[in-house]
Amino acid sequence: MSRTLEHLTVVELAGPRTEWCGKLFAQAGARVVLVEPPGGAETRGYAPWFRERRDGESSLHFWHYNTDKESTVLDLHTEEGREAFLRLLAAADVLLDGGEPGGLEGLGVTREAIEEANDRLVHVALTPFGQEGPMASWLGSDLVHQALGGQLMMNGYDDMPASPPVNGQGNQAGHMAGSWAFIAALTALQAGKGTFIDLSVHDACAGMTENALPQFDYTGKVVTRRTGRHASIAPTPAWQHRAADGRYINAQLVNVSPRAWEGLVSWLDEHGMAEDLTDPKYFVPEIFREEADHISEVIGRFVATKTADEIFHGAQARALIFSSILYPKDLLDDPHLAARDFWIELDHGEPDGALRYAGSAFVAQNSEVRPRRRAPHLDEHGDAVRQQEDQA
Amino acid sequence: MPGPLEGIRVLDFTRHLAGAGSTRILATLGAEILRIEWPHPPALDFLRLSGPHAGGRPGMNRGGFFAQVNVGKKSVAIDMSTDAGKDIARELIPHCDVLAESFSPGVMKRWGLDYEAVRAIRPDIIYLSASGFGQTGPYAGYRSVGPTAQAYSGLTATSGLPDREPAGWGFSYMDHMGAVMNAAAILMGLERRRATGEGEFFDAGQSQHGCALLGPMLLDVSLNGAQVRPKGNRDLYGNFCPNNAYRCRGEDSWLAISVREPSEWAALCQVIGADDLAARPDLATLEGRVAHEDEIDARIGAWTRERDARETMVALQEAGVPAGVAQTVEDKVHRDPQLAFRGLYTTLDDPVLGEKRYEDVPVTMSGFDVGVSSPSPWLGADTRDVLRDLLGYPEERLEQLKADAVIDDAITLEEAEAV
Repeated sequence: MSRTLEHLTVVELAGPRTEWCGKLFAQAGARVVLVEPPGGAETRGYAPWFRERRDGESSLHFWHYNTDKESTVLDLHTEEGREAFLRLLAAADVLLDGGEPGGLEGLGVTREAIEEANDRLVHVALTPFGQEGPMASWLGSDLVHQALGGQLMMNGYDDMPASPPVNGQGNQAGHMAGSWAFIAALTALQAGKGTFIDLSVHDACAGMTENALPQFDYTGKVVTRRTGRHASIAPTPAWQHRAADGRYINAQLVNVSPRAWEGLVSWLDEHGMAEDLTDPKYFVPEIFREEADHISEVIGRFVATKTADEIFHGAQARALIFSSILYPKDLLDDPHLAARDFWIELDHGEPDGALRYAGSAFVAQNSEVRPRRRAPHLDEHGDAVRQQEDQA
Repeated sequence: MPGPLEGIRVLDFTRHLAGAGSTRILATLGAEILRIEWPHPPALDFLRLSGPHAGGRPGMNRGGFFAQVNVGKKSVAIDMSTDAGKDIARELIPHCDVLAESFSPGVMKRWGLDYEAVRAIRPDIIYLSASGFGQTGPYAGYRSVGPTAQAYSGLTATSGLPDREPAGWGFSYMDHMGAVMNAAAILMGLERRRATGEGEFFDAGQSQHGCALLGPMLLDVSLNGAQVRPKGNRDLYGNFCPNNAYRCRGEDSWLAISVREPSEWAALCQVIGADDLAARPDLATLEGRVAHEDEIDARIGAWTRERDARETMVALQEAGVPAGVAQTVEDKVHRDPQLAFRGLYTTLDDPVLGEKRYEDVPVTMSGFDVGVSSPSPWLGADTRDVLRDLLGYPEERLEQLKADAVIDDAITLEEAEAV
């Protein structure tokens, strides 16, 4: 099957900020040429490692974010390297540039030179805080960006005095910004002319805190963190309950239809655990809201008698939006992900053979968006890239 | 200057943030979005009923969160439970490049508007079906909102303090990222159409997108069999150390500090006056610092405890140390010079809502206008214009359809306030 973006060529200057966007292009079939410095990309040194092999070819961080890419080493500190880089850009559709503001210019690769090489190029510059402004030279990290963006302060425990706010794991600042970079690049391609895109990671994070801004703008109140549930301007009932097998359940009760409520109450009642929830008064929205803590407690007592799986599937069968709180390892055996071909194998050659990877979450009908090739060794495609240039 | 997506028209059946957030993104980039909706199920967007409300009074056109998610769109009020309503929707298809929907699987098929039916009318349509768990698989019928997807995907469980219950995310992260990924899918489809002339169908599951966002944890479990467990604010894999949120002076005030490079470690030690730590060879490497993380965190925390978070952040950044205050929304709006400089918050005026702030896009694009430019539509505000301009419906027909309760409109402030 054809790949969705197989007609595109992307040049990615290797770095932590561009790697997710580059992967989004690469898994959709775009040719992504990863330009690495002579010592290799910084993230070749990031843990976790493949089976404790701590070397530049065994970073699972690098493996994850660089599937399908081609690696070529160029030293942009040399004239020869810069010329080769501009030749690469001449044949490219998109440049992903995660260096600091003015970084390329500082190396002598000016925007004018890039435009001269290719006036249709979409140049995406991802910086921590944007190209200009009072904080443009500041440094970021996943934690720092989620702190300044507002995510950190919205998450943690309100039943643990003096406990810190807690950030979401998994490199999400990079994902928020990198995904927006992908969107912006594809958007620019629709317009069919070259452009310079100035993307601020800080902006990307700060713009994604759901209802916090409307709450503040309309009520003047600031949402504060609550254990295992949404930050809010006033206390809310618990959503998170522990099941009999020690696992946790997310049991949010929002927009509960009368049918779903009846299903829930009769389910509890079958086990003699509905307590007073069978009372029709709970169909009155005001009473449902007033008694939210009590309802949550009754549900919590029921959840404690069942396994998390029993609650998850039993609740969903009754049109409730509950889920088990899974750990990453649980996904390996998840039947739904298996049915949707989420897990794939990529060939690493000898001695490791085929290794199991997460595929892509994009499911298309007429073309394919999924990784096909492991991340490249350092300069693995350097000769081929240089040869193609010579031919060009 | 034009928007880069000028000329792209979207027939929009998305709801809530995970769905409607995707067409918001397209609207901010210049696409024309025709929201098909109705004040009652099945075509009602429940987000129109959510708070906060302007003046504290509920109403279809008074919801602040709905307004945030639907800036720059048009609203076409059609009762999709009627045959005449379904016919109008079908007539709009040839005029649209994209159809996006986020109903439970099966709804669009019942309306005769599933991908096969729509592509028969417009072969190069880019069609997105966004749902909680996707259109296929054993959980295809399962319901999901952001926290459901976060719980299922592993994102919730990996966020928290060690040996405590999960902290989760504190907001619907996967509604935002669902929206972002759905916009990305539509744009991939448009880009492929540009190259091949062909249409595409995307079956998006919010929960599956959540799984894909676990990042390198995915390979750590699949190849190393790792049991990933939360570590508070410390870096899960020790790629940054120190890496934590430290309590500062005042009530619930915290400063995040992350260090990776030797130069950053040296600068941090200098700013906090820890010459002894700077001189210790066992702390010179990342691995060495990870081995002494408790000790390092205690030293930094004791130093920040009596200091102002914002002043300390500035001092550390000026010395070359990544640091950031844990900001509230109030901090972002009133105390963040960079967001102010870049204009992240755009104020728009609406006669019902008043002057309110809207989150703008995180990008500028040379040669193009991008960003938030007009408020969210009143329910049915554009019904007449769209049916007249695109489909050529004469006034009498519009009146008849309204009298038959197939379409509705809201033109005057009075009408907008009435629902």
